[in-house]
Amino acid sequence: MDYVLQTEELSKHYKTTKALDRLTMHVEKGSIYGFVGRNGAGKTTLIRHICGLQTPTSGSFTLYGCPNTSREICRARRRIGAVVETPSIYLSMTAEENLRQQYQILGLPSYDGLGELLELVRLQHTGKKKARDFSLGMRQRLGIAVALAGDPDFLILDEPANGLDPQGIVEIRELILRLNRERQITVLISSHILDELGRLATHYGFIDNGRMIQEISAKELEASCRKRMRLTVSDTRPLTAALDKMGLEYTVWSDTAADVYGAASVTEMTLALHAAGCKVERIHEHDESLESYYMNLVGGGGDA
Amino acid sequence: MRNLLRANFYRLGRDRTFRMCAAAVLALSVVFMLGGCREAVQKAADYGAVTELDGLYFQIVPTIGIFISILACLFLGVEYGEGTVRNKLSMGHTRRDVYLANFLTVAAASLILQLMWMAGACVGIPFLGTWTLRPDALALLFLMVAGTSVAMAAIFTCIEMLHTGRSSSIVTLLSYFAMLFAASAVYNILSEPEFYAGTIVTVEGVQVVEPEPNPLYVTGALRAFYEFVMDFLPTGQIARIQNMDMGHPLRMFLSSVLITASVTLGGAKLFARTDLK
Repeated sequence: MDYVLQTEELSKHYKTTKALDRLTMHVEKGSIYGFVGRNGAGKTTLIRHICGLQTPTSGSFTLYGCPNTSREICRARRRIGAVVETPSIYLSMTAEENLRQQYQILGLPSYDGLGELLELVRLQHTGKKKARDFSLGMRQRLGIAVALAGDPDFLILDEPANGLDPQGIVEIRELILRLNRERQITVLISSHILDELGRLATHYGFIDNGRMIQEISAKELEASCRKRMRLTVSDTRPLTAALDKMGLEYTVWSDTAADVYGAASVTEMTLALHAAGCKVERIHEHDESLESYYMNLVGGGGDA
Repeated sequence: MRNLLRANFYRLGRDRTFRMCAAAVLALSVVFMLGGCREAVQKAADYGAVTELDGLYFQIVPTIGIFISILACLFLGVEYGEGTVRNKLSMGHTRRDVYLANFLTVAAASLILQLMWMAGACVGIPFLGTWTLRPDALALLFLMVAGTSVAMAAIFTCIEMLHTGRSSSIVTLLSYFAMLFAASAVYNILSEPEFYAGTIVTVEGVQVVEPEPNPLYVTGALRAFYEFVMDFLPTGQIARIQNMDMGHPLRMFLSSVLITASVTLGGAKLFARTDLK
């Protein structure tokens, strides 16, 4: 597997708190990695470490295979673009001036592509308007444009939808999807808005109290969140024969438990099972969303 | 590093604070010199007193320090306030390069402010004539002002880069005034006369003035220490330059170099270890 970012037992301790506690994560190349956790879970701390703003207390990470302790990490960082917390833009400058400034920081030989970048984030018509007069959404998009100035392979967005109106959220989502699909940019997004993440992410990492609780692909998550009925029966052998006859998808977990997927009719199914000599003892319906999946993982009691 | 400098100068050129500081130094310099010239012309008419350009020319030097501190805190404060320092670090620039580029930019801006003062104060030439100092002595004074300006740029850059809180501007300004007051206090101590005029004693019908030792006059090792403080502190050097009192020019210039080098190297090292948000 080709990973853009891997962390290994990464820890960051302050005097009394552990912002990151032996966190291990893997961001696959080409993925949109949804980084989910409640406030103070350690999402931004991890992003700050990747961006070189903080140094870990222990543990390590690699960026494009380059260890964080290596001198070459600076070179690897040139391949990333990041918006950490708030968009990092000069408010007294126009959108174009901000991008020119970033082009100079990157040492790009010319301003070619600047107009295209402004068009990409739909800020081409802002003219002489200063960034301080931009809406929150426009600032966020300018922050992303600044992050994209170096033509990065890996984009890190920390709460990109924070404070945006519904239209702004849709615009940012479309932009991220376009960048991922058209430019094959790997994206790491930390977010509270699980519904929004659910529309984007190909992989998820759930973090709580600085620890990685689970890493899961969107497909695996979808499978575990699918609408299903958990059946407890006297014997699963006649059950499989009956369900096969009905053409239903299922997973057998034990001699007495199985999941049946899809919206099967409970009456028809129980009658068929009864006819096959299988006694149904209990039926539980499961219909998990990303939100409830996360809440089950971390045990509730916090805002994701 | 070159890219960072290019970006910093691009921003400095568009920075309203810098333009305003430069304009303010120029205007203050012109206004102060014209005020001095008016007084000089009046004194010449009333008492025939001659005022030289040199004495007035260097009077405004302490003001430059205030503008350097304002410029440093506003120009560098933006990097934290608007989070743009993250763009530099996350794009792979080292902490050391970011620090040095910021220092060099503030130092260059300080020298530009010095040029503004020098140009503005030239309005006194038509009224008072040119400098009476020898060209080499004058050049030495300008060099020392440049040295103190760069040393102050180094100190203010260090405070700004290491103090990431909102109160950094206040800390920077206060540190300048603290150094200014400290230098002023030491200069006052050193300016105490060794003897008072003393009492008048009549000896065989002749009045003799007997000078009395001034108890506030500092001597020995303590005086040497105070002299060193004056030569070492940038604000002490400013006080000396303002009063055209060139105690130990080499020591003063070397102090500026030493402060600049040690504060910049130490600051860059500490900045490399600082956790940023």
